[in-house]
Amino acid sequence: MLQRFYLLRELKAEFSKYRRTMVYWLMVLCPLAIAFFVFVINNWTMPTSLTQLIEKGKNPWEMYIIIHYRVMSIMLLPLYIAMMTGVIYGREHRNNTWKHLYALPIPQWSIELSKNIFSLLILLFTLLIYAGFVLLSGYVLSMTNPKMNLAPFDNHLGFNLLMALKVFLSMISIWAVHNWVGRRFSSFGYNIGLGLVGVISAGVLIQGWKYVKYYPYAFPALGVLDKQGIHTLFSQPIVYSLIVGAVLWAISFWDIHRRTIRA
Amino acid sequence: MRDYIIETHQLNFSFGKFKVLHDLDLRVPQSSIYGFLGPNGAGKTTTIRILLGLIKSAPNKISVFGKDLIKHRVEVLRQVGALVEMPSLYLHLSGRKNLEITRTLIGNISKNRIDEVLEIVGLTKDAHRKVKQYSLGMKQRLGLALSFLADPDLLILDEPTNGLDPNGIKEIRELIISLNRDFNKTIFVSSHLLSEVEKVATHVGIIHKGKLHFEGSIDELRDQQRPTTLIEVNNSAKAIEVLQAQNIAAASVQNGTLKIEANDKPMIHQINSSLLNAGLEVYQLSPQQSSLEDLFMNITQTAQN
Repeated sequence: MLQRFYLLRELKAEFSKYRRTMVYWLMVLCPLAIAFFVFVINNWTMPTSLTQLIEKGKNPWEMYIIIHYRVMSIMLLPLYIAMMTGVIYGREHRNNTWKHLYALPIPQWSIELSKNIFSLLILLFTLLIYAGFVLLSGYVLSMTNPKMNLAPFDNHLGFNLLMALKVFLSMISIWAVHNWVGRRFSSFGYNIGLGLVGVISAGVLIQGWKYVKYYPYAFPALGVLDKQGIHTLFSQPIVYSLIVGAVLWAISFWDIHRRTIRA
Repeated sequence: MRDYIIETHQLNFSFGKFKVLHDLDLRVPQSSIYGFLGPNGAGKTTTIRILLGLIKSAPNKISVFGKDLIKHRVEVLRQVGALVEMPSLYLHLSGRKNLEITRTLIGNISKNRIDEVLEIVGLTKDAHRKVKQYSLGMKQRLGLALSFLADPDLLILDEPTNGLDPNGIKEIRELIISLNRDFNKTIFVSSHLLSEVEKVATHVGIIHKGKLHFEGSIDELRDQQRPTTLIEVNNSAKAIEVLQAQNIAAASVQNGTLKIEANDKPMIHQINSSLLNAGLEVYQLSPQQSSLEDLFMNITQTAQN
């Protein structure tokens, strides 16, 4: 009977144990920093893609939202995932709390699964917070720059949230890689190093490699650059990301459980 | 009433090709304080980690509360509290918050229980402070509080006094005795210091190089003590030869002082005469009550040889 509640209790414990840590700060500050960065660029450079739409009286919000998610997906997301999973697992590695968790009367699968769900939720919250900052920055920009007046138009909140969810799903396979590395290695360096390699390699391979559509680090960028499927949640890069992510996660879960020395 | 809380049956474990445990048969009686003794690297921590399921083992090798650990892990651990090596604590959180997290994880523990365990370990006043501000002794006490938060019947403590000053060691020792005496907990405590175990344990298991060399009550261990006599002479090498001619082996030789396993008067007289007859100068013949420390050294050194 109690079995079904293990996961809920552990998730609750996860949320309390990361209080006053970098996890919650990063969750708010990283999207804020990116939104602010894009705001400054928009305010100063006034991209013609946006100003032309405004001049013609067409709604610029969709383009405005796409620009934001492109910057987020291409520039930051893989490194953010690497950093976040590193910070989340680092807390357990540094304090050597695995042995405490594994000696408690709770199933071992739920210890790992609750941590996985927690880190995924943190990433989802990050993107939802980012959606909020995208919306806010649009209105602030309307006040600071009359040529970039987005306020009179409908803010396309639904599309904004769709993009957030889309980007979240497109990064599942990158998360699966870093979740595995963060769990297996106590050194933060592996995760960040791999993240850097991933970002750079995706940036190079996306220029024309035939099989880039199967490359996990390219999924978020391909997702937001795909003009045809931009309004579809389950466009091709997202579906590939979910399949590759599910396979990698299953292997990582098996890998953690097969080990003789558990903690 | 069950006789043994923990039983292992021919427990073996290897790290790659290096065999750490050899056919370990442990029997930990209910309501005992079982001192699990052995020098560093003897296999104590590995045994404890296996007993807690932190290291995978084969089924039907470990029985805790009469149940197979592998098949009934969660059920068994519900009655077990543990402190393995240094306590595992979230340093950025307060002592109370650490306890609250474990309470949430285990479930079915009343909120008042946190105040109770803080009181028992003497951390009520410091409960609000971040653990990173705690001294090692306080961390160790908080680790103990975590181990019996769920009011388990069995506590497994791995070197709980490691790194503590004499005052801290005394506090932990008193806590262990009180948990056993006042709360009827069975306590399995490992240590490499016999002097520490001797002060708290009712039963002892001595492990060396992964093999169990002694298991029994502390009285049974004391029964194994053999009386000895200390002999101080001017030439210990020659004295050894004289004794060997009479088939008496020196248990130890240190700075011209020999120790032999005998203290009956006729024999001492005979030894004294033979040493004098051999032209040696005898300065001291002193009967000794050998300590448990000697016995421990003897057991582990014999095993080494």
